[in-house]
Amino acid sequence: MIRHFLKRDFRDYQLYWVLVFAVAFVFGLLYQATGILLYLYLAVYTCVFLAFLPVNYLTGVTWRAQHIMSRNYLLALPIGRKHLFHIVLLRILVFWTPLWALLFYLPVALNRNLPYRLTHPVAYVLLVLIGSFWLINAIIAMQLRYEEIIRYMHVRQRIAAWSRMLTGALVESLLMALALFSLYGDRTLALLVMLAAAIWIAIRRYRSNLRRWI
Amino acid sequence: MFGVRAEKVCVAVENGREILTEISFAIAPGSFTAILGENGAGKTTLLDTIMGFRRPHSGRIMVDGLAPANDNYLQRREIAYLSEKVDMPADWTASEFLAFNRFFYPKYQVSLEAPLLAEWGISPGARIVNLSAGEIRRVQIVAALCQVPRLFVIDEIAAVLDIVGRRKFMATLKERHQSSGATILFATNILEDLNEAASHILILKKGRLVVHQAVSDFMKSCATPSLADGVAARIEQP
Repeated sequence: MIRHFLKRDFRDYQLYWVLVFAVAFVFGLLYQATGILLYLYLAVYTCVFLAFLPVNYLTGVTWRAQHIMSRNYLLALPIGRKHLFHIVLLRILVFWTPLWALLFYLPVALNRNLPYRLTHPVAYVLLVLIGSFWLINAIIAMQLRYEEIIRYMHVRQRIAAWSRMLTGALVESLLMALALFSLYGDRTLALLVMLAAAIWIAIRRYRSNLRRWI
Repeated sequence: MFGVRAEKVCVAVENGREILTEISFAIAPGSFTAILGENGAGKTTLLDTIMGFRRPHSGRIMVDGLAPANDNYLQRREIAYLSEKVDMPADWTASEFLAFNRFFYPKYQVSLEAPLLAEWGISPGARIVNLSAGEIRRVQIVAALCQVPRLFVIDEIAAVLDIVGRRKFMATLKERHQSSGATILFATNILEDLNEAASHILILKKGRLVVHQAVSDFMKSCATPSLADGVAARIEQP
């Protein structure tokens, strides 16, 4: 089942992959030639942008769009709804692989150029993966919530819902940022606590999306 | 064939407004039921609930004895869903969409694709981006017919078809209904094409069921020359 979707995605996003590899190659060459970190950052930013690009297309939209896959079509397919959600999640994660590759290389380059040192490289890799998983789920959650807010709520309810949604996202982002900062300290206990918090946030978002998927 | 049963179904949205209020009916397997009602009456919500896109907040709905809210996904192999809200990626061709779609339906008849595409005037290589809304619906119709479903759930699709396409669609549905005995649920605002096709009508008004009966019985009871007049009169009744 997942192969069927991924094969289709690969055909649909050939240009995307060409672009990703071209950008990575050019900036990689420039970085190797000059040693200027900015090129590496530019490559990361490009991959961040490209990772976000297909999310809404892959989840499908609930309103009439004519040229985007509709959510109703996906939900009408004879695939279990939870299974479908996992397929969508996996399809999105595929688009994050170039970004992960760069993010995993980033500390190596930073260690070479900056006085800061990552004290827990394994925790860093783990946090990048958890953070990505959380971020994807946060985007999906916002999309699902947005669909509810614009369709069914009165003005006051909308304002309250927007405020709750943005506050929640802000608090979660803050916790994720703290978890990332704790990588540069030497307090293992603090790092473990922040890691546990990050995992909890990511799982909470994922489970909430799974419930609200229809 | 699939029957659909609703028992005191209520569906509400987040602001508390009830879209469907205590709807109860039993649609017999193999019937062709037109779902009618003014704009905002709850036709789409009813079909969404039957498809399992929404959960009733009270009451229950059963499709062939199973509750769609429980996600009986294998049952959906037997259901063709046609809706104005179903869209597909712009870069796909009609045949690419059909190839993607057929993967999910074991009874899908590939041999029907080419003649049906020709019949509906769609070139297999036509890109979705170059097709009109009506032509996109035609691609969907071909996909649904090849699927050989036991239940058609059709939401307002006829509205974007031209007059020739609409007549052809109604004739095809009628033929499928008679030959395979498929159950058909057909929400529409265009009643002129329903004559002789629909066996039953179900009229919703402000989220409540006001009529569910055989077309012949309804025509006898409403004493108007056409079905459209009878439905309009019933909707306008206080």
